[in-house]
Amino acid sequence: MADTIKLTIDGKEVEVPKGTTVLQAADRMGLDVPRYCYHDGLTIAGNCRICLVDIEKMPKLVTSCTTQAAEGMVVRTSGAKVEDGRKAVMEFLLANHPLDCPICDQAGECRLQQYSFEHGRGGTRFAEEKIKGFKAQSIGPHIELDTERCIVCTRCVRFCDEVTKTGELGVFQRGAYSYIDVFPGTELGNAYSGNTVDICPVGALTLKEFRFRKRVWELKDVPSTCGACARGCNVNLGTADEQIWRMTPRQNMDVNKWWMCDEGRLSYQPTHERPRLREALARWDGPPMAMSYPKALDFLAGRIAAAGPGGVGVIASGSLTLEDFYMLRRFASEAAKGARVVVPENRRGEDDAILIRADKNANSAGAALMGMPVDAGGHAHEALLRDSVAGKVDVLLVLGDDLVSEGRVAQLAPARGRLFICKIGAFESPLTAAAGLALPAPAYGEFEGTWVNFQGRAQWVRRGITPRHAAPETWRLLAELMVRAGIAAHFASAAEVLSEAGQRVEALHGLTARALGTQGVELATAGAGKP
Amino acid sequence: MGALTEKVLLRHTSHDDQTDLDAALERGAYQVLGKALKMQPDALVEEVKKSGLRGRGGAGFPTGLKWTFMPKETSKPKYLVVNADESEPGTFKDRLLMERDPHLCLEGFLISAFAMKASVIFIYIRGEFVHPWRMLDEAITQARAKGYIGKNVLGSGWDVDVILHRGAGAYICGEETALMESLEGKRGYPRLKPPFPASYGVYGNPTTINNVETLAIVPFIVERGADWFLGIGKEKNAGPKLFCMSGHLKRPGVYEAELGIPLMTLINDQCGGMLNPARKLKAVIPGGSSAAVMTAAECADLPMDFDTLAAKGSMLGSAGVMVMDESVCMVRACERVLKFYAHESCGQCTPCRIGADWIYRIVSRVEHGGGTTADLDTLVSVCDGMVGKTICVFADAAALPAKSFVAKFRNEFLDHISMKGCPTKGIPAGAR
Repeated sequence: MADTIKLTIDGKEVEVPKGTTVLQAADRMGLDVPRYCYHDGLTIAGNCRICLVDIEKMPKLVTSCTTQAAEGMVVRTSGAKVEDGRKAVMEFLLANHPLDCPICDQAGECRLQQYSFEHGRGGTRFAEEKIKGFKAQSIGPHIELDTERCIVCTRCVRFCDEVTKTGELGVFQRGAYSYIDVFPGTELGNAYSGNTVDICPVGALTLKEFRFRKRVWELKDVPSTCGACARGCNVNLGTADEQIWRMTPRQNMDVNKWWMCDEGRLSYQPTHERPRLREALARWDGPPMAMSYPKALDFLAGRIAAAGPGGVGVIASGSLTLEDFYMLRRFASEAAKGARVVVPENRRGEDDAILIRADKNANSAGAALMGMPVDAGGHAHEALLRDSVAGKVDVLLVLGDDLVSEGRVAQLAPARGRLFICKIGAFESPLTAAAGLALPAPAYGEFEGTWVNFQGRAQWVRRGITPRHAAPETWRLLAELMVRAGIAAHFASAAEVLSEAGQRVEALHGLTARALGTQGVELATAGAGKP
Repeated sequence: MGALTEKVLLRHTSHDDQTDLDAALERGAYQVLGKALKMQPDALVEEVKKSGLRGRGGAGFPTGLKWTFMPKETSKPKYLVVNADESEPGTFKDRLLMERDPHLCLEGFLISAFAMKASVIFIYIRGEFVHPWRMLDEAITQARAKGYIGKNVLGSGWDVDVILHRGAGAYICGEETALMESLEGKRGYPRLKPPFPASYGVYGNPTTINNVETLAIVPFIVERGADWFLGIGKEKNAGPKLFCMSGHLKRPGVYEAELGIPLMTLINDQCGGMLNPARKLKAVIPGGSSAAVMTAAECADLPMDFDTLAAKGSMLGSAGVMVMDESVCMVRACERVLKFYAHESCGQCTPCRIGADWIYRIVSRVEHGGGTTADLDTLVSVCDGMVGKTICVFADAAALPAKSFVAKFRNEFLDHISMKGCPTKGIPAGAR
């Protein structure tokens, strides 16, 4: 009991842990106290002064973000006195603010607009000339700065000081001429720079990759999971017109808190920008020949059936979904008995102390759960490719993109007479041209399913847009192949696949898509899956 | 209440060689330090507390009480910070002390640091104070050589170091927590309080921060006792005080007098009266530019002490007394004061960042002929939006004098508005 405090906010009593600020206590109650500078993930600055509240026995209004809750405190977050204080702060903030809302990317999700609506005066008494600032300054590879719009809340400065600890940003000059900028000779180039845009409460920091592309009120946020590394940051896919326009982090205190890295933030881009595999293409000696998807599957099923014992090799991306891996597991044990399955390692750089994992597979842990652990060191991968060149493999199934290097593709070419390569992937690649059959697959944002992150946390990946070129998910393709081999494998959705997997694979403990929700669940025994 | 029977702080400032340690020693420098080092530190704190000494930097907070806020048992080093960032417009008393009697200053710093068992004294000196800095720097070198600073000071077993740090020209760095940020090499933004410096000061360690004049008087309190100090001035406003007299005076300068001396005594007796006796007194800013302006009528019988001035809606502040005769345009004076605050607002809190600039620009517009009567209401309302809504008191320091100018000299503002400009424009000061 001694560790909690009871106070009254807007007539309701609330109990909070010692050390909680009044603003945080109000947040717990679901009250909407306005704020610019305050952010749960940053130290408290107390500079914007919009979160003023009225506390009994205190002569002046106080900022709720800087005031610790105390036993018996009686707080009012509204009322004439509070509104007057907020009105004054709003008027100050808007005094020099430019009137470029119509072309501002923040419009629609701007706290200046929001609080003007809620707490503003409606008119202005500011009759002076507005102070001009810098507009459209590039301060980093992804970030553009508009100091006129800036309200110097220092969220971005604190982010770079406290979260990335890179300290690129500072406040320059003084008073009304204060502005945020990068220190001379530096740029805002840390691996998490995009977060400054998310936390900027106004339109001062904008993302080059999103700037002027879409009005935010036209976007629908689809809660999903990032696949750029084994962290699996929770994200929102900002979608409209069957296109992903941006990715933003979605709070999950167990995974990514409020943040995501820039690489992940832009990981939707290939879906739209990289040349895609558009249709099933079969290739003998001449130019590729388009085939209907069912026909291509018949053709592939025939090749697999004709392969000798152990004659099927599978290279599967570690970013396939748990459902894909489950079906692959069934496929390898029921349809293509004795198939050699390799999940190549995909590591780059180092784990950092923030979010980024060196393991760039989104689902290494999921692959391991399905009995197909990542091929650490690449020996099995190497051996399979070597055997493929040597003619010991009849059918090589490549599930995913960029799994076979360009050099390897060249080595595989001479074996083409007797080695049948089928590539199933979203994108054009050197392997596509070498493959006897290339089948389109959905790219990121177009499929749904489950990824298990490096912590052993299963998280649902939601589809944001309809797959291009009617490409089926890999699990569906494998199921089709099984059906063609006379095995019952009928599933309507990834969720159905997961339900079956949850029942049949012990490590999943009856997992279902519904149970994953939007925050995922930690698989109790997933420890074995950790890389 | 009035003039002192003897000079105290200014006792030796007229000697040109007082900055030299040998000369200062001949005049008794560091003798009280030797005495103090033989006393119990707590007894020193008690004596200062008993004297009722109030901080000379501006706020007038009881110094001895402040010292007791320092934690007794702590594993952390304790610091004394000397606020020598004297930047309040109209204030130049610490400068004189540091320039003319740096060893007295140092003796006060050392005794006070010993009283609080501080191991380091940081002196944060205004960057523009090149000469005082040189004097102090040299004095520190001399005192170190004599063993007043360093390990085992005068065989007392107490170690102390003195670090003299120059500011870079920001008024806000005179605010105690902005000063600490600046001292740590950061941007001079005032800190959120709590935590207060006594528990979390420089580098997060317990810190007490005092003004130069406050600490310079400490050797006298230790030497002569709290009762001597209490015998000067008046109740709760005891002791000798330096007054920085500037403006339309025959002899402007730093004067030492009892707290509570009538303002007109200071003007007429100490400073020799108005510069031009033919001109009447118009207004006085009694405590640096952050203090509300007083009209001539209000000055007529005005004791210069903390409580009286506070009761009259102004403040003694840093005792920077700026005297203005009837040739002064009060709108212009107000504009000049507000220009300073617009320039010096650190920009951390919204109301001050924008408000300080806004009120300056309104008054400037009125001064230069573009004002309307509605501007005066806006000005007052903007001031009200600033006062009490920021981390430090800078916003109040800008808004309260602005309000006082408009309230007390409203007719001059209205004249500017109706005449579309300053009535004194183009008229040489001598001909007004």
